[in-house]
Amino acid sequence: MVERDVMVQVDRVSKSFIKHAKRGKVDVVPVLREMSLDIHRAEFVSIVGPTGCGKTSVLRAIAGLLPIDGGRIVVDGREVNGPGRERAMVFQDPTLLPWASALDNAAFGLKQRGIRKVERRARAQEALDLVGLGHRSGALPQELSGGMRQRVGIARALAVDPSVLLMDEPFGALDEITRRTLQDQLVRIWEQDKKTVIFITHSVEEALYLSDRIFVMSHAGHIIETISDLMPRPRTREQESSEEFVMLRAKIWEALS
Amino acid sequence: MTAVEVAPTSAKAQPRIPRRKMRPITLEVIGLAVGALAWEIVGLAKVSRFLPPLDDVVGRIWDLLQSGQLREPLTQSLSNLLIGYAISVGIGVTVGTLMAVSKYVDYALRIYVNGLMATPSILLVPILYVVFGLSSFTLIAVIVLYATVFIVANTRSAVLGARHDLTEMSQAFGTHPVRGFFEVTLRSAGPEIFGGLRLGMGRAVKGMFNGELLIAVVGLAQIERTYAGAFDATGILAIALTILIIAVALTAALEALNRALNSWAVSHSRPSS
Repeated sequence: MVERDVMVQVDRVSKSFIKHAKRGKVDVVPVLREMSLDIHRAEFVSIVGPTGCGKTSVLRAIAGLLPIDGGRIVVDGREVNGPGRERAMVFQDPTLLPWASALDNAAFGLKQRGIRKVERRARAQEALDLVGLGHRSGALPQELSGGMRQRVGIARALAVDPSVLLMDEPFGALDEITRRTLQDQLVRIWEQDKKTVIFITHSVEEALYLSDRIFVMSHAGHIIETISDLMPRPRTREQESSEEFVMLRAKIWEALS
Repeated sequence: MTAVEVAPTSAKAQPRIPRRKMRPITLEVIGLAVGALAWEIVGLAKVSRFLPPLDDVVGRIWDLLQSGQLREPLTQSLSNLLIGYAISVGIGVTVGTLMAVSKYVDYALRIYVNGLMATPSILLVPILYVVFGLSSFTLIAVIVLYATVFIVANTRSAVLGARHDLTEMSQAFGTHPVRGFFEVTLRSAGPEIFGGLRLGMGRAVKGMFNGELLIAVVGLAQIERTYAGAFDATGILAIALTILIIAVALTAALEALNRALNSWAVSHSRPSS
């Protein structure tokens, strides 16, 4: 039975990839081994860990894009069997349709859900305004900078008004200044309607600045540390040099090393 | 401490305005004009009796058009070409897509595609003649034979190389896989598929002429054969130039269609910031 305030429950989830070796043999590579975690409603959690530890795999499994071998994933009381309306994903690469304007890209999810054109354009415009790109709604992706494209990707996810926002290293490919601007923007948006956010990142500092809780993963979905007592909100950039921030960062690095 | 000398900045310093670049169409026209001029000069110099000046050749085309001698063969050749090409596009895009999405279809057909691409199509023309007999159907079949395999190969490669990250994104937003394939995968492969269609058009024109020359001796090839028998170099070149103009015009029309449908891939806008 899922607890009332648990929004996402990952319950003993396993996933392996089959690698074809020489002479017809197969290698089974486990990426998630009986992984379990609970994420509460309106919570912003980050998952940090080294490359190949299974962070993206668990996120794709929650999104319904990666079928699991064992265990179960429950989102908002319903078991995940594929992509669903209550979830929306922001990818590391913005994955925008190159032939569609920023507005049409932001409206993509709404179109797939059968929302009428007038309504979906209004909602997409609202989402673009929210990420500060309302003035570039007619621009094609190739006319936008990397940061702007990623903001369109976020707007596309926000436009469908999901209960759970899944973000796979969305700022990983951006420069430091743009990354910080988008982090601030994300915090502002999240504080407005408190969606449940699962945020994958390599950056310990990013996780500390954004999250309510941080899961530190080592390999095959093994959670080696859960950091809950993070700094109170609202947070400022100045806090990044505070003793508390430095200690938390050291704690995570210690777990990772 | 050493003082660093700073070059005085000119008060009149102005940002350098880049020179206006020539448009590709301007360069194409210049290229054509240079080629035409060279032909005219060599023709007037009477280097060979088989290379008349360009204005004689253009004049012959004009005469053929005026007298109505070109109308019927041209209509016949063009209608065969367009029917054959349309069939090639239908078969080529469908089979190429199926090969890209199904490894079973790919394994079964790859050997035929590779074989047909390596074999001179002209070798197979007599077989079509035996199968279909002396009819315009045979001429269309030759065009299909020439063009289809190149469209298949390019479509297969285009769909295999399509943006599959976009397909996954569409699935994440609940798009049905079939709808996602047509609306996202195939659309993202569009520019590459058009590359194959352009190649196929060139091959179809070759197929049209070779078929007419080898099988039925009709259409443009019939006039060509007549001029060749009379050693009329101006007439031969007039027909060759007509075919060249048809090929260039049809390829340009395809390019215009490509620009209209896939402007996002053709434009070269720079990011604003």
